[in-house]
Amino acid sequence: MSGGDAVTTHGLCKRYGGETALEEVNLRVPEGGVYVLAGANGAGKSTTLKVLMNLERADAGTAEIQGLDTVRRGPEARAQVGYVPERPGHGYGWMTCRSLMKHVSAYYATWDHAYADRLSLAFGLGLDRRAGTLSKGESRRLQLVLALAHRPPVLLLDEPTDGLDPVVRSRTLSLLAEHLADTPTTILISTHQIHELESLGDHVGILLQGRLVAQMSRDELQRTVGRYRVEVPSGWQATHELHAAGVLSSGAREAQWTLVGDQRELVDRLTLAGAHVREVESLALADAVHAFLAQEVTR
Amino acid sequence: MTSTTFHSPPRTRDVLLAQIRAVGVAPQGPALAAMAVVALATLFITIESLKTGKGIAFHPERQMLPGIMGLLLPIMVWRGEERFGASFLWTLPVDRWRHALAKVFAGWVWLMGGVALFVFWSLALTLLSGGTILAEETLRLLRSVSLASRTLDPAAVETVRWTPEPLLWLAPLTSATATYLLASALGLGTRHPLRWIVGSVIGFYVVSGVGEAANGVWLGFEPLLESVFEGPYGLDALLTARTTFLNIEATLTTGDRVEVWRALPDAGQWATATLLWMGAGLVTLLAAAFRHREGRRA
Amino acid sequence: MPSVRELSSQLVVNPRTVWQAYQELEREGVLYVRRGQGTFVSPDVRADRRAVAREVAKRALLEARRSGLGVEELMETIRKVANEEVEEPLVPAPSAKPASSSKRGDGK
Repeated sequence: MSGGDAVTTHGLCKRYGGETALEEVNLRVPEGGVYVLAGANGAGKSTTLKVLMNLERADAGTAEIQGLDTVRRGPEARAQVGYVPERPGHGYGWMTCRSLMKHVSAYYATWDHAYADRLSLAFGLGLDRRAGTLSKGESRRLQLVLALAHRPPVLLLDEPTDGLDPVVRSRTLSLLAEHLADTPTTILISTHQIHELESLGDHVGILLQGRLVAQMSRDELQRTVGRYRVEVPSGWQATHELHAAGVLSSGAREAQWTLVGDQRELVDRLTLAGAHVREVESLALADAVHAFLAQEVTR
Repeated sequence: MTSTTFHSPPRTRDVLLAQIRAVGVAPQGPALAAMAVVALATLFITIESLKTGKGIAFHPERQMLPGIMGLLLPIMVWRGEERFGASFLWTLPVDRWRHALAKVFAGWVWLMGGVALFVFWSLALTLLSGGTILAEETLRLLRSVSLASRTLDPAAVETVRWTPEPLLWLAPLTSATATYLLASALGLGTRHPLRWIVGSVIGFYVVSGVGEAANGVWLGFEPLLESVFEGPYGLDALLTARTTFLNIEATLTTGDRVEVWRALPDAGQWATATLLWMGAGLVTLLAAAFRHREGRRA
Repeated sequence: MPSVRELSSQLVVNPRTVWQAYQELEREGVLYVRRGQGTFVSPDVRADRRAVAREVAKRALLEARRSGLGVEELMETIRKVANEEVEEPLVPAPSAKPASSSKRGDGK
């Protein structure tokens, strides 16, 4: 394994017709990390996970899970993975939850029956109900049970809380945290509800139109994105560049910016422009990601 | 947190058993309906034969039903699987080519069970109605194939003694297998199997229509089709050991309507046809499943 | 103290973060681990806290007397002000009673 990374991709490219889905994506998910893959709808989050499952074939580039090539050693790579797909619902609608779990358990030697029962109970899944009669949220929960119950080394979760009501949503995240405490797991989780993973995620990757525009640890992100509160002399004009970055609020003698970049360098630049930096505040994960996206879009 | 361990993919045996179980619960509804229809149909035959007092003859090789079963079963086996998409089957940790074949195998196991049940059912009916299974029969045979016109001179027909060929009783199993393999190949290899079927039927009529309009510029198209369906190694040979083609109804000049045979069923010919069709089915299936293989880089 | 598992599940915090926090607090002597039994708040920290609380109370009383306020009046006002304050985000503050007392957002 290269440097303790559980999931890596190298120069992943994917096109659908003329549309670019992925462009030179080099993902690095460190082992044991909770990696939040952020981005708007259609940014390439699902496609990335599908390539990792070998459900989609990349036009160029390779991917590895636990050091196993996802194409050449697909079955072995997938044996390390619990996957919650993009869409809820299950083709095997005629099967009961119980028989579906039994079916899937045959594929994983590490399937933990007691844990599967415990999870189903926590999620309030009726085991005798047919998969086809489940609501969107319920079938999402069933997918989560199927992904977690064999305690895989890697979890690939594609918007796992999508379609869940707020109560179940928070219970799901609690169960995920509990799972993480019990089982050494690497989680790659795609979402546009970043705030949910505020204290769970420790790494972030940001996809914008198929490009991975940022990839860093939580701490690094907090150092890179900050809210700068500055005192300015009256009649002061912001530089063009700072204007472009967007002023959050500005009074006669005070202004506030959310800026992306090296903190010391930015402070120097603001000082040079005649402003006095009073405070640099670090942002919540979701806000930091949005700041990053805003900066990339205007670039 | 400690480093994680390698999780091994499942053993082939476990995959096969899991698939057999999964297919077993899938088509319950349609299977029950089919069984009801068969039971009802055979009930009428039995009542008829009890009226005439003759026992029912045991001719599993003359039944089209197993072939049709094999043809339709893949629809149920692959129900709910997005074969060309993010199917649940493909997310499991098994080589996709083998996994597709494992599922086809699982369906085949149930198919053989169903066909065997059908054969035993007709055997039971034969025995219950007082028929015997190995009794010699008297058949009317045409002296010359070319004489196969609507009305026949009785002199053109001879009677022969014929003992049933037990080897031909395998025909239901083999014909179901061959049609099942071909239908599975169509289902696995094409995104829209129904469009292909409808398309080829329309294509056939268009080509033959054009052929007729062009006044017999046929380029051997019709004889080819004929041999595929009714030739010595054609579909009919596979499904019913050619009995559908060989066995015809004719009116004698005396006015009697009788069953006559163009030739007697030939076990050797049937075996060859069966091997040919099953081989073709297997090859196309392997090729179709290969479309879903793991290592294809675009 | 709740276990790493319990706390991370309750707060939906990465267990690694909880574990690191516990480690740090253990290093600082605030917490100690008894094998197989769990994590506990050190008794001397509890004594410390009592001492700190006494100090704060003394100062508050002194200020109150200077301004001519009575003891009862001061205590009532402290409760009232504490109730009015918006609940602050949780800090894994060392506390004698887990969960129930940790919601009060005690100052240091």
